[in-house]
Amino acid sequence: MLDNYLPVLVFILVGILFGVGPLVAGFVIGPRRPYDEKLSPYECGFEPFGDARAPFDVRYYLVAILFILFDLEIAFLFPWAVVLDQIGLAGFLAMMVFLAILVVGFVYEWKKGALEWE
Amino acid sequence: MSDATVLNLVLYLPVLGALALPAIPVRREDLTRALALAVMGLQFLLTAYLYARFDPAVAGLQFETRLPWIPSWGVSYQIGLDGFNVLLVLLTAFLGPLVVAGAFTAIRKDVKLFHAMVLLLQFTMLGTFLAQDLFLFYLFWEAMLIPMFLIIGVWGGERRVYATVKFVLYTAFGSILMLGAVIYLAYAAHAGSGVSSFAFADLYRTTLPVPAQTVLLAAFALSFAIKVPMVPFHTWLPDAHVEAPTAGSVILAGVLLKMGTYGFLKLGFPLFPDATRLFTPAIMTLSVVSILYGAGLALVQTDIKRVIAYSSISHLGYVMLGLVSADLLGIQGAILQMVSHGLTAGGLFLLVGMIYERCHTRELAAYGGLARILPVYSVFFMILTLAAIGLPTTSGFTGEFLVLLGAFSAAWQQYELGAVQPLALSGAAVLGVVLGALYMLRLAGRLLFGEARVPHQPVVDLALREKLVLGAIVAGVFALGLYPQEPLRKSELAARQYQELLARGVGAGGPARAPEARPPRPAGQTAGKTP
Amino acid sequence: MSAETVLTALLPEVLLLAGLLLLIGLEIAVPRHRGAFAVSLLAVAAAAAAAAWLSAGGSSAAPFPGHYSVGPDTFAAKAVVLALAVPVLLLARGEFPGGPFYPLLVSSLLGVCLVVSADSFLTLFLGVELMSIPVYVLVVLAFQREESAEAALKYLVLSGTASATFLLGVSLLYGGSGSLALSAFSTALGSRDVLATAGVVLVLSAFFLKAAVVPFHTWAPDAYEAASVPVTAYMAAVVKAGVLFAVLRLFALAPAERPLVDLLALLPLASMVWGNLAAMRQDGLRRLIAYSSIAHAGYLFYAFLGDGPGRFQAVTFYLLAYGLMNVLVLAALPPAGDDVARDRLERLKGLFQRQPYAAWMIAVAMLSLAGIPPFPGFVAKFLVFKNVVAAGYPVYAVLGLVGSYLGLYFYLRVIQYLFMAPPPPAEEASAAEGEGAPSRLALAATVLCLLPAILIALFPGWVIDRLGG
Repeated sequence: MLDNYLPVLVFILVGILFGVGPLVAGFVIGPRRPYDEKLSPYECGFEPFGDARAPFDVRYYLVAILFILFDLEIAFLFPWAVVLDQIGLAGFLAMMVFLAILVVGFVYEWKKGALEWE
Repeated sequence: MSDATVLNLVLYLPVLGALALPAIPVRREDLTRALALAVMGLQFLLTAYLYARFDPAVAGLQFETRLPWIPSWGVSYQIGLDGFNVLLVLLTAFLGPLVVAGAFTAIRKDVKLFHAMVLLLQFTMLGTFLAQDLFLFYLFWEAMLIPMFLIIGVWGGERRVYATVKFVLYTAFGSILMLGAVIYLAYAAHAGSGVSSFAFADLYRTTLPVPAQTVLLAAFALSFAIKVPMVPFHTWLPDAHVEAPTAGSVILAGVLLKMGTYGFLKLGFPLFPDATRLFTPAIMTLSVVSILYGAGLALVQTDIKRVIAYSSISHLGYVMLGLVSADLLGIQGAILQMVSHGLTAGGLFLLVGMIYERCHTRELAAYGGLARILPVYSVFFMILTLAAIGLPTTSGFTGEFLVLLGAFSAAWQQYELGAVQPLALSGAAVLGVVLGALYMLRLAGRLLFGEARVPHQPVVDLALREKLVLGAIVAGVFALGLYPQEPLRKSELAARQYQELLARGVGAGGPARAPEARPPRPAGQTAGKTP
Repeated sequence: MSAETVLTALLPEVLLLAGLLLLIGLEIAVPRHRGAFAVSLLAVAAAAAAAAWLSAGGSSAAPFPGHYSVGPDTFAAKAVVLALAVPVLLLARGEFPGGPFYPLLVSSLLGVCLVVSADSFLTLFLGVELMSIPVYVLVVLAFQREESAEAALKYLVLSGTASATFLLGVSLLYGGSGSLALSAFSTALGSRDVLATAGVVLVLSAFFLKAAVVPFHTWAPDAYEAASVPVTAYMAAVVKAGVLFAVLRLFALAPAERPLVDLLALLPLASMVWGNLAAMRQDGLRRLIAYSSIAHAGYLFYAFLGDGPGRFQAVTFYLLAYGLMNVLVLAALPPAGDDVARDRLERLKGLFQRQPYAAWMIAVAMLSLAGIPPFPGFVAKFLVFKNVVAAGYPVYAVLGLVGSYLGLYFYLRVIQYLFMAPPPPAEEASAAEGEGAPSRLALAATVLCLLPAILIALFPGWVIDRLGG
C-alpha cells in the first residue's frame, strides 16, 4: 500500500528540488559585489519610509475570498459543460438551481457593499 | 375501586398534593400546611385500609400493578405489597402526617417549597418500598436524594450546606456503583435466561457464578451499607442528623435508614446467596461493631441530637444482625426492629425538635430537671427513652429480643459445627443492649432530672398538636410491643421466602440454614414467644 | 428516480434552503425588515415537522447513491436536531432582532442535515464545514466582550486544524481503499494496516476536537463563554449533535475492536474526569456548561463502545435529553444589564426567592445533566452504560460511572446557590438590579424544552422504540 504513495513522495521531492535548487544555485554561482547603496531597501527612488511589513488593506481579503468563491464555480461549470449533451434537461436544471442560489448570494454581497472599494 | 388502584393512589397522592401546592397563594401558609396534612392523612388512612386487607396467608405480591414501561429492555412498572414491605409502607405512611404536623411552627421559611419537598420525599420513599422492578427501584432510590438534599440544605442548621452535600455525595457514591451492578445484573440475567427483565421475581431465578455474585453484592452492599449506615460508612449520618430540621431528622431516622436494611433484605442477600454466605462473617462483625461503636459514641455526646443519631447506628446494627442470622425469628425480629426504630427514633427526634424550638440549643449541658418544668414533655420523653432501651411491653423489646434470639439460635448451630465466632459476636451484641440502657438513661437523667434549668425562660409545655403527634407515636410503640402477633404474621411468609432464597445458589448447603433444617414454627407460636 | 422521490427525501433540506433564500432575498429587497425571525422559525419548524413525519412514515431513499441517503433513522436524527433548534431561535429573538444571525443559523442547520445523511467523505466534509463555518461567525456576532474575537479566532484556527486533520485521515483511507464511501472507515476499523489505522485515528481526532473531547477541548470554554447565550445553546445542543451524528455515520454498524476500543474509552474517560473536575472551579455559567459539555462528549463517545444498532439509539436519545436540558438552562437564565454579569454563577444565589420558576428550570436541567432520576438524563446515561456493559466492557462502564459521579458536585453547587445561598450582598445589588424576568419568548423556549423532557422521562420506552435499534 505504501507503494501507492511513491509517486507522491517523488512529487514532493521534485517540488522541493525545484523550489530550493535555483535559490541555492543563485546563491552559489551568482556574483556578489555588495556596497551601501545596493544593500539599502529600494523604494521607487524615495528614501524608504515605513516598515516593509505594512499590513494589507483588509479589503484585499474580501476580494480574495470572493474570487475563490466564483473561481470554484467555474471549476464546477467546465465539467458540466463538457457532458451537457449526456445529462439532459435534469442536469441543465440542476446547474441552473445551483447558479440561481449563487446569484442570490452574489446580489446579497453586492447589496451589502462588499464590492465597493471606497 | 380495586385494591391495586388504591395502592397506586397511595403512591401518587403526595405527587398530586405537591402539584397542587403552587396553586395556593404564597401568603396562605396555613392552607399549605392543611393541604399537606390532609394529603398525608388520607394517604395513611388508605394505607391502613390496605394493611387490613393484606392477607398474611398469601405468599408473594398482593394488590399488584404491572404495566410494560420500557418493553425493549424488559422494564416494567410493577408495584405491590408483600410481607417484606407491608410494615415499612405502613410505617412510612404513618410517619408522614406526623412529620407535617410536627413542622407546623418550626418551618417559617419557604413553606410551600418545604411541603412540596416533604410530599415528594414521601412519594419516592413509598416508591422505593413498593417497586418490584429493579429499574424502578433504582429510580426511586436515587430520586429520593433530591428532596432530602433540599430539606437539609434549606431549612437546616448552621452547617447545613456542608452536611447536605456530604450526605448526597456519600449516598450517591454507593448508588453509582450500585447502578453499575444493576446494569450488569440485568445483562447477566439476560445472557443466562435469554429474557430481558428487571423484575425482582425474574432476577431471583437467575443464579450467577460466585465471582460475579461477589462483585455485585459488594457494589449493592456498599450502597446499602452507606444508607443503613454501618460502621465505617456512617460518618455522614451524625452531620446530616444534627444539621437537618426536625422533619428531616424524623424522616431520615424513621424511614430513610430503613432503605438500606430493606435493600439488604429484599435485594442484596436474596439475589446473591452464595456471595452472602461468603460475606456473612464480615457483615456480622460489622453489625456488632456498629452496635457497640454507635452505643459507645452515643454515650459521650454533648449534643442531644447526636446521641440519638449514634443510637440509630447502634439500633440498625441489630437489624443487620437479624438479617444475616438467616433464622426465622431473627429475620422477623429485624423487620420488627426496623419499624420499632422508626417509631422511637422518629419520636425522639420530634421531642428534640420541640425543645429546640423553645430554647434554641441542643446542648445537653444546658438543660436539667425538665420533669418539673415540662411535665407532659417529660412523660413522653421517658416513654420513648424506655422504648429505645427495649423495655418489655414496648416495641423496642420485641424487635431486639427476637433478633438476639435468632442470632443465638443460629450461632449455636454453628458452634456445634465448630465455629466460635458467631457465638462470640452474638454475646457481644447483648452488651449493646446494656450500653443502650446506659446512654439513653444518661440522656434522660441529665435532661429530665436534677437541678431545674433551661436556657430560655419561660418555656411552655406541649401544645395539643404536639401532644397528638407524640401520642400517636406512643400508641404505635405500645401497639407493637403488646400485640406483635399481627405484624409478625404479615411478614412471616416473606421471612420464609427470604430463607429459601438464601438457601439456593451454586454452593447451597454450607453454613446457611435451609428452612427445612428446623421445625417450622406456626405463626401463632412465633408470636407466642414474646410477652 | 423521480423528482418527487428526490424532493420528498430532501424535504427538510429543501424547506431549510427555501427559508435561507427567503431570508437572503428579504435582506436584499427590504431594508430594515423585521421578518427574519418569523421566516427562520417557520422554516426550521416546518423542516423539523417534515423530518418527524418522514421518520414516522418509515420512508427511505438514496437520491444521490453513494453520497447521500435517507431512512427512518436519519429522519429521526434530523427531527431531533431541528427540534432542538426551535427553542434556540426563540431565545435569539431578543438578542438578535435581525441581521445575519438567522441566515447563518439556518445554513449551519442545513450543514447538520447534510452530515446526518452523508454516505461519502465528500458529503460528510461539505456538511461538517457548512455546519461549522457559520458558527465561527456566530460566536463573534454579539461581540459583547473583549475576548469574543480572540475566542472566535481560537475556535476558527483549531476547528480548521480539525478539518485539515480530517482531510489527511480521509486521504490515507482513500489511498488504502480507493473509495470515498464512508464504508472505507468502518472497513479500516477492523484492519491491521498501519496506514488504515493512522487514517482512522486522524479522522477520529478531528471529530474529538470538534466535539471537545480531552485533550482537544481547550477551545470550548472560551468559545462558549464568548458567544452570546443563544449561540452557546446552539453550539452545546445542535453543533455537538451534528458532530456525533457524523461519527455515527462513519462507524455505521462496525464494532469497535482493540486497540481502538482503548482509544475510544480512555480519551472520553479523561474527558469525563477532566470536564467534571474543571467544572467545579468555574464561576461563570457558560464556562460551567462548556466543561459539562466536555464531560458529556465523553459519555457520548462511550456509546461507541457498544454494539452497532444500539449506538444510534443511545447517542440520539442522549443528544435529545442533553440538548433539551442545555437549552433549558440558558433559556431560564434571567437577563441582566450586561453579558458578563448575566453569566456569573454568584448571581444565581437566592434566585429561588426572586424567580422561583427560573430557579426550578435551572435546577431540573442541572439534575438531568447530572443523570439523576427521574429526569431524562438518567435514562440516557443508563442506555449508554447498558450498551457498554452488553458489549463486554464492564470495567470501562464502572470507570465511566465513577467519572460521572465526579460531576455531581458542581451540579449540586448550582442548586445550592439557587435554593440555599442568601441573595448576593448589597454591593452586588447593582448587578442584580439589571436582572429582569425572562422574556415571554424565553419562557416559551423553556416550555418547549420542558414538555418533551417530561414526556421522555415518563415514556422513555416509547422514544427508544421510535429510535429503531
